[in-house]
Amino acid sequence: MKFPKKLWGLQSIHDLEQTLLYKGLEDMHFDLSSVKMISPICAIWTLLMADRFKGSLQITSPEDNSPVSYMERLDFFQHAGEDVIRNFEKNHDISSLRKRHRNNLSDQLVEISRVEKTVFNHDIVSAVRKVLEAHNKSSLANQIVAIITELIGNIVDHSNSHGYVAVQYYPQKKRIEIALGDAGIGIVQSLQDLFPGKYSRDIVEEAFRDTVSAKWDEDRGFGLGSVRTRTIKGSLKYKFQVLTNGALYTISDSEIIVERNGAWAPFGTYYEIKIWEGV
Amino acid sequence: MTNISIARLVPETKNLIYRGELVPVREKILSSILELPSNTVVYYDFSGIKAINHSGCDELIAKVMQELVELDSPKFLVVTNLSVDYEHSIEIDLALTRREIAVVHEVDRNKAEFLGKVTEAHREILQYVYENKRVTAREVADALNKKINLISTHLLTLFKTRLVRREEDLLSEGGRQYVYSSLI
Repeated sequence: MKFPKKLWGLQSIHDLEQTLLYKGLEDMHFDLSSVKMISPICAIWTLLMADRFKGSLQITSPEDNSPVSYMERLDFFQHAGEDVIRNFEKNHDISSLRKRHRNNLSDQLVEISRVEKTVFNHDIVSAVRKVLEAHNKSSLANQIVAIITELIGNIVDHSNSHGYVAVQYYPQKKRIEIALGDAGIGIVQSLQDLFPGKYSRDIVEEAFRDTVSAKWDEDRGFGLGSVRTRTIKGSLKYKFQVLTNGALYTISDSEIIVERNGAWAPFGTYYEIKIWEGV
Repeated sequence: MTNISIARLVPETKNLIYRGELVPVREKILSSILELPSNTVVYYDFSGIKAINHSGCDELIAKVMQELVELDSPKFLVVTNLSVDYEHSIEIDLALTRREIAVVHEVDRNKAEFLGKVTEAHREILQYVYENKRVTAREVADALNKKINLISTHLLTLFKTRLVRREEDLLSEGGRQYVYSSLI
């Protein structure tokens, strides 16, 4: 499966998952040779797919060194399996990349960190605050930390799997992107028995209810619902998207929009939150 | 009055952000509260606490308040030393509002605010009670120019939801009346 030049955002992942399902899972070959740019959420997706299909997935690395260098900076290779690293080493000196001097980007980047089931890593809190406080976004820090920690808590407690999280600040665009993904079965699949006969979009609506529901796990719903009901202060713009079980949703406090639909996908759940200066 | 240092209960992280870690903390707090005498005011001291989120507030405050409301023997909860930098009061207010529960926040020795779901009518009465410290339904009704039956009902609700204390006073002319008082 050939990847496009630009791997950016959940739309890219949705396209890739649908192509993968169409082609079938027998011949798993990710051809990243044309990739020039990759965003944190797409790097996380690649990691999770490599984890899921360990041993049976072949990867052709990007020809361009720039995306590989960025992936290294994201700590992609720290979490990737040896088979993935070997694939990349066919075209790139990954060992040297990993040993190079790193600029301190703690004011812009929270590298990919692994989320384990049943263990909550608190380091993400101070790392995220550092990025936001460095760009005079202290007032945002508490809200962003609250959002991220609720989503991580959901992965730890309910995905029955591991995941990854990363945060990137783009100084020229003045935009923050939060990327999380897990290797679970997906929100719709995990809840569909509780809501028989409901459409996927309605099940996602239930998962992110802003009012507490007694129909299912109240504690879980309380956390996810709080992510939806937050309003970001001032003139900042905010976009919260979720990709799960083959569909991409944009979630606001007033509605859930199905941005893209597709074939059922069992590849976990991905969250992307973008915050930027309003115009 | 009993003081509980929340930071001492989560010493390694000082965060209230993951429900799984806070369940045993809540259970420990509740079992200690159950041992306390009736009418005790328990202070949650948030000094040193850093990040909190809805799940953390829910587990440690909302669920404890729900238990206190169910107890036959009244006991009360006040939160204090909330961090402005970490916006604790905003987070607690949002989380408790979703649970339709409220808690008293001691802002300083003489000032309280009420975080969570409080109706306008209740807020007006609470402000009067907390300014005057000890009041009767008659005093509140006269001050706010409302019917005494209505005020009595509201005060009973505020007592049941553990936002005010209540004692029974014997009247010199015979009979009894309830006196409501602030928690701080």
